[in-house]
Amino acid sequence: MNVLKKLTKRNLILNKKRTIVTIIGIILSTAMIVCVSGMVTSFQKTLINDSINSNGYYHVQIKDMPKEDILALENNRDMQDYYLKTEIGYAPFSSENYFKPYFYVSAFNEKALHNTGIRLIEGRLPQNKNEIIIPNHVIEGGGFSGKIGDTITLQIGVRTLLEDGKTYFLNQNNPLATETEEEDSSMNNRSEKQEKIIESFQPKEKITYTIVGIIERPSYEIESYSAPGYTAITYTDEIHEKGDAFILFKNPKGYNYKTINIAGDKYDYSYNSGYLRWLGVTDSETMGALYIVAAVVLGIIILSSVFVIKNSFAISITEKYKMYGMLRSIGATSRQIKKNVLYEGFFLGLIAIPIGILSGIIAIVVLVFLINFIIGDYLGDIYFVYSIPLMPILLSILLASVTIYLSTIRTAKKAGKISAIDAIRSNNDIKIKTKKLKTPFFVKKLFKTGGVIAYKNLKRNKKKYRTTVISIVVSIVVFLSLSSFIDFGFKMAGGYYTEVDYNMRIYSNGDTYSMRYDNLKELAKLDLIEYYSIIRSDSLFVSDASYSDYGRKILKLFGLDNEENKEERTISIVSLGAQEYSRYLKKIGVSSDKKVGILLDEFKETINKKNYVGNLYNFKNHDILKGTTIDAKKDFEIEIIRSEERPMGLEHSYSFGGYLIVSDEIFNSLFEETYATMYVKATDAKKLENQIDNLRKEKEEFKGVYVTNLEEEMKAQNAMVLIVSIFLYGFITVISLIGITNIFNTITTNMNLRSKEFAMLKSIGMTKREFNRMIRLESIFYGMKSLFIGIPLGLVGSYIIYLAFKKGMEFSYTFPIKSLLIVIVFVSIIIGIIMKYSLQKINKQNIIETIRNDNI
Amino acid sequence: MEILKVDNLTKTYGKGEMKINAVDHISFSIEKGEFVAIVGSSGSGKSTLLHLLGGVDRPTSGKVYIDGKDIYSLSDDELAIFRRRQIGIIYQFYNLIPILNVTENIMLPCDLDNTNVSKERLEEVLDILNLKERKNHLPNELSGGQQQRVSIGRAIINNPALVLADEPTGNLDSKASDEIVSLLKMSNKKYKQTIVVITHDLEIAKEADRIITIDDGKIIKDEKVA
Repeated sequence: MNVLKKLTKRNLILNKKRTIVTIIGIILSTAMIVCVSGMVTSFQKTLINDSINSNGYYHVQIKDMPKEDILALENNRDMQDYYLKTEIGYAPFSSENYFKPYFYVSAFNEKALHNTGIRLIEGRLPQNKNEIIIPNHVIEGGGFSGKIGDTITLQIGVRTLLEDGKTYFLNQNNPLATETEEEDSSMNNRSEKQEKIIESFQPKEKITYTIVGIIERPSYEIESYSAPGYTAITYTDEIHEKGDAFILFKNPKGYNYKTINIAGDKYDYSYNSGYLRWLGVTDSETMGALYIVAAVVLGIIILSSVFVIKNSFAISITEKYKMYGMLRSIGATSRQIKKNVLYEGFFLGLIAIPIGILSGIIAIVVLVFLINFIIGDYLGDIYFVYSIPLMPILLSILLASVTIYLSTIRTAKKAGKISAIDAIRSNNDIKIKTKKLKTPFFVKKLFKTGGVIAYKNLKRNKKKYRTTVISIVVSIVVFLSLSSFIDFGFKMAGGYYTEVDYNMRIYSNGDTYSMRYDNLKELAKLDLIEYYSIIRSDSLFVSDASYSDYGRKILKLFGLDNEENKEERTISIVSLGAQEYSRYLKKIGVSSDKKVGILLDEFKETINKKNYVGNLYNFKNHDILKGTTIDAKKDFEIEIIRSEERPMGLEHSYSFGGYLIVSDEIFNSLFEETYATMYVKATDAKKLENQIDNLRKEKEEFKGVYVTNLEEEMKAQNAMVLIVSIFLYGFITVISLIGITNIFNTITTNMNLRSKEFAMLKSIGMTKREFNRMIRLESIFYGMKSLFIGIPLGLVGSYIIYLAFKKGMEFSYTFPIKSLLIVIVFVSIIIGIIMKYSLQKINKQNIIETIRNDNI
Repeated sequence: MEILKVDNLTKTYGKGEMKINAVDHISFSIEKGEFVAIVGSSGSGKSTLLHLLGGVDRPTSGKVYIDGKDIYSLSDDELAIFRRRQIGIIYQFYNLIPILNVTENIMLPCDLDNTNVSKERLEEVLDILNLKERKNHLPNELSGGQQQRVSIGRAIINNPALVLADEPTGNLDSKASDEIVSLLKMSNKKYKQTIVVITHDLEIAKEADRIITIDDGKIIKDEKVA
């Protein structure tokens, strides 16, 4: 072995601790790189899997190909596999969905049944041409009442449309052909449109099928939203005269050219766009955003890693300065020295990178497991899978190598430039001017001589000291910014629901007012409801309200600021239901026997990317507000009380005329019919949902009731936030750990290099106590300076993140006081530990030996 | 034959009023096989001169020819390679690499140069230096005299054109000093090794063939020892 390599290895072994810490630093960064890039590929794989599941495992569907062209597919070199589907025909049935009056029966071959995104809910796939599977939405939406095991006889035929004397055949891409007739509906003065079917159906044959399975609604590519026939699938094993081919290419790249190769302009085709998107062969915003985030994160990781590793090498050559100088004097070229330093990096990488990759892979597996464990329930069919293909690993090796290379190359160059003469004279280490070491008088007063020496030391070792400070600062900034990110993310995702009292929203649809309103009052009697509000709202014209400046600005934005249309200015008038109204009055301290309206006139809106917040009116308490109902039938006058407190159901609603909350009696006296929404705080939301579901099935009048269970949404959002927190806090932890390795390396080595000086101080009579005090002060100076720089920068970071979030949602900046305290405590602890470690090391040294030890 | 020629060599430190000519327009030459001692009080510029002769430092002006070659016309790296082949340097504080053992330290210039030295040559050097028993020891396991012998080994292993020694005995007791001086003398006699020693110890200087005395960066006396 080359003598220089030997030297490197011995040096690494000699500085065991630093070597290990550096290796840990490299392991951490490699693991992070693997983990981040692996999570991206895992995410992509998950989406691909999901789209294969729901959309099918093919790239393009070519429609209506004749037999000879289908047979010719066998010879296509681009193609990996193909599956066939053949049309049997349409079959009318008594559908409840006006626009979907048919079954659309087609026959799939074995491969097509398995690879086109058909998902069985129950039963099995068809095995012969007399068996059929039907989608569940024909039962739920179409009112079809068949079950598994039933036999049905379908009148198969074709849809035709006569137009300009020509007969056209219609397929699934042609929605039900209808014509619109205008009819004057006397009901509420609104013209209602009536659709009339103009296509016709020509029966051909009757076929009897046995239903063997129920499937989920097929993908959009197979049954688009406007398709007039419900997909029913039977089996075939032959190639028919005409059919659709689902084609899977060997390589999806250039799928469009390959498709044109086959289809030319003879046949229609549709791409499996969902699948192609996640494969990354078509543009995708989601994947693009994901790549950008990953790139930013990788950037931060690489920067901090370069920092640690570079520092470690910088320390290493400071220690070996004299050795390199000596090697130079006996004739080592600067290239040899450079190579030596690079070799050291290479050697460390050789050990650390494989371990890092392994740890990264383990981290991915654990994270994917955690994701499935925590949010699996809320993801529906999506099951997270991990994918650790070669690319991210190669990328990590490359990135880690680049990181090490970048970290070493400068140091290597520096080492190569060490001049023999300087090293021999050893006069390069301390190049300082007296002026630089001037110490503020208060340091001496406050900390005595020990403090002065500590202070001067920091000044002298400015560069090394800077490394430590920067390491701590980076950790502080990353921590403060990211914890704000988590905080605001929580606000944005969960915040909407965390501030509301209700966990369920109930809405009733129906032709009559009683179905829309009385239903809700009826439901309100259910036991599981703890409290509720029934929000009804309508508009009141207010022509001469006293608007605030802000109110005028808003009017202008809505084009209602001039005299002509002042008649159109409205305010929303709202009733809450008796229970919530009295609860609400109590909350704002207004007696309920007075006839008042509560004015909520705060208005928030984002118009043209600008946020507007403010109060609309200049009303004072007990002012009188005058208005007219929108049918101009009734005039209205009421004494108002202003409030900022919001009742249940209006927490996050803003109306551009503001809200006026009145009692049910007043509301009823003004308006006859209006829509209502009930907000409910249920003791058990799930149970209540089931209870209402049962009511809907049992009683005809509850048919139009819709329930939104927010508890599930809230839980799902909280789980999402939890996952994001795990990722971000994981990131913070690792970045901080990398920082800590850095600090550890710097401080301990610095102590080592100065051991001679320390020995001298002791030899001239510095007591152990004074000495410890000096070292401690030095560490405290480090910590203080880091905090002084890190905290403001971190707050800036946190505010920038706030600004980014503010674009999406309105909320005020919260000072991250908790994170700040954590940072201060944490930095103190780290400094304390390092201090203790260095002291232990120094105090073990023997004075005389240290002084005498003038080896290199 | 002239092995070393110094021509109008000057090394200046500082600027303006602070300017010091550590070596001030010195010219002389040394024949192959000569044993020369350069003496002078401390601060006279003798160490600077030695570093300039060894190609470790660079002069402000003037030239140094070794074996006819103008060494300062070489680039840093060429100079480094020239150094490890043609010059051996011995320092007052040995400057051994603490993590390499005796053999490895001696072989260092050859290893750097990727040249093989025969086993016999190494054995011979270890033998001359009386380090055979110690060849696998690390520097900190050796006495000062022994360490200095290792550095002599390192300086002569390549049969360089010129061996330079900077106060080689400055850190040793008289017995060890005697050993070192007789080693240098022996290699001068036996291998016709050209040696330049810097010293302020006149006892050592007396062992040389020629004594050059320096003061204030100038040669004030250059005499042959009878």
